[in-house]
Amino acid sequence: MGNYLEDANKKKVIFRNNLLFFSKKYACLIGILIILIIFFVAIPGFANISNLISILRLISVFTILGMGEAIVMSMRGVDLSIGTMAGFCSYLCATLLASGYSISMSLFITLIIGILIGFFNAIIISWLDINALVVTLGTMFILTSIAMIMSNGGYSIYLFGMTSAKINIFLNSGKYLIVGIFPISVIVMILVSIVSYSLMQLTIIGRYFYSIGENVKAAYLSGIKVKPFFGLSFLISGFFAAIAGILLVLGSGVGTPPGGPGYLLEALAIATLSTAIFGEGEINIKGVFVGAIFIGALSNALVLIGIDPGYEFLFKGLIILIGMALGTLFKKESK
Amino acid sequence: MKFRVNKKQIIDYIIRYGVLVIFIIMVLFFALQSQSFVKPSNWMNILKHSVPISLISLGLTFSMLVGGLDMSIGAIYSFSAVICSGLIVAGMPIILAIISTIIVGLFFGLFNGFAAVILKIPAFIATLSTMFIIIGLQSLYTHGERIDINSDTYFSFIGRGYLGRFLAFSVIILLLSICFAYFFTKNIKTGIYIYATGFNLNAAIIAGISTNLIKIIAFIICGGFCALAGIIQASNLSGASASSAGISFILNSVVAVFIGASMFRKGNLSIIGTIIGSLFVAVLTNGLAFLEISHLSIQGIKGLILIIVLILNSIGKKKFKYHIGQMPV
Repeated sequence: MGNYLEDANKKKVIFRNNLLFFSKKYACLIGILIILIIFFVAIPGFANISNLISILRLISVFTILGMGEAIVMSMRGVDLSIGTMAGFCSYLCATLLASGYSISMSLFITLIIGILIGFFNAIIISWLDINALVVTLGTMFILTSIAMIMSNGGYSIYLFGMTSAKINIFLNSGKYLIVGIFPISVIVMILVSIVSYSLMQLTIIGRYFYSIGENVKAAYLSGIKVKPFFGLSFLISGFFAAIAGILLVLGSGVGTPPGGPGYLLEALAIATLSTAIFGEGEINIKGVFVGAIFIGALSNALVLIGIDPGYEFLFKGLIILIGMALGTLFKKESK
Repeated sequence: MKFRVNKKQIIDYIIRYGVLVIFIIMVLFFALQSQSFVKPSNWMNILKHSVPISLISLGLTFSMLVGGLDMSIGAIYSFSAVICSGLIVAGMPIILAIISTIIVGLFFGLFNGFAAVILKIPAFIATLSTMFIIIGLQSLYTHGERIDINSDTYFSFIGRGYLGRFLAFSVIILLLSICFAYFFTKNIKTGIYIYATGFNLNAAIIAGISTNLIKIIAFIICGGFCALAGIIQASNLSGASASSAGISFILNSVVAVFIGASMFRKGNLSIIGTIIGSLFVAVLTNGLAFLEISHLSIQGIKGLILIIVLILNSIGKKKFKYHIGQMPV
């Protein structure tokens, strides 16, 4: 009899602990799901097919930028130039298309330029040992100025006004929907996510990245070449920014020279939120994916409600703060 | 007699005086290009325009001494200009409006310090989110409209008044602030502790300094200086524009602080260095305006100068192979 009671008590305690653990770990995820459901039900026009397509376009850009930022931040680096890079690459791609280059050529050049900008960052930050935050701040403004000079003071390039066959093919492929709802950019997003997930979780490179982020001296002493790996992350973020830039042109048909940080806030928010979403306390690619969906839906919902843009800044700032505070909390617990 | 050249010493000299040489060459270049650049009135003008940048850079120096780049400086600066003008338009006495604006700045500093130190969020992410929160608040407060104040009141004397014929009042405020910052960091216990915390955190903890409190105080001082800069700018323009300076204003101050750091003992931050750096930025901005170079390429040139100065700073330092420019923990 006594044994039976003890067992029941033990089971109760274990169950309670499990419940506590589960609720702590997935509280953030469940909260996000509830907010998304509220958006679906309560906001008129949110669940509309055309709106969903535009959200998917936004999310795909956010996801790719967030992946780039997360990979850099997993090693305690940061890339402030990522939003401006995406804007710059979208402008570059539109310029190349408008001046008569073939589609494959202009995409290729844009990607190469993205990697080169990343390489510039990587050389200065990793090999010369200068704080990533300050260097990428400089890069950001240099890129803004180059785009301004290229565009004679900020004039956008409108591709859809042009009658070239190539540009029409390009714009039509942007409009094409798979199964009637998924634009091409979603396919690109999924590809990029799979590549980043396998890089960070399945290959040894990802282990190296995390170990460099956790303790760079230990990583160095255990034989990892820290400089090339840290530099590689900036190449990756430059490459991803270029992809996001191309998707921006593909979606809108307009090449706008970047006038500021661009999607930097969103990329940082997604990357920092990923530490909290699955309760891991560390930057992880799954979290980036969910975070991008959340931030994309939130941006769209705030526009649909017609709220003052001030609230958008306010909400996103608060989300970064809360996400980061939760992430640090989880990290402390897991240690 | 054999003349021996010490390679290390030469590198040290290049780092310490390289920026100064660039500064002098720059001034000479601008002077040759434009006659009106060298006029004394233009120099007073440059000084006057450098006041907000210098004040914000002073604040940034404090926050960077304890190891946190405060990204919210530009936002606090514009928001306090808006708050100050708004309070004066609403009919508050000018002294009270100024005091409450400074309190708002100090509060944001406290908020930054709380998020960075107590919640243990990396300082740049904490201050970045503060920046976006403040931009949001500003947009909600102004509804996209400029706030104008009557330029006849003696509020405008703060930014535009002259003592005598030549000396601008705002420059005197700047001088007083420099004196405050200098003596605070040299003679007052709290200020010395800020240096101690920044240079060697573990040693400071072992020495019994409550480093968390010191870090928060540094962030609070940073917020206060930004608010002061905002008040002077509001008086300067007799009002405040709705758009926030946000991220673009960080560049000026970061350039100023790092130029200053390059001049003294192998890249250590100092108040005097920061002031020289802010003068550098102010002269550069003014000179480039004389050459009729557009506003947006000026930012690019500043970004380039920032990276060059950082490279100069890093040349003489002792490095290990695992030093790769990560963010501090």
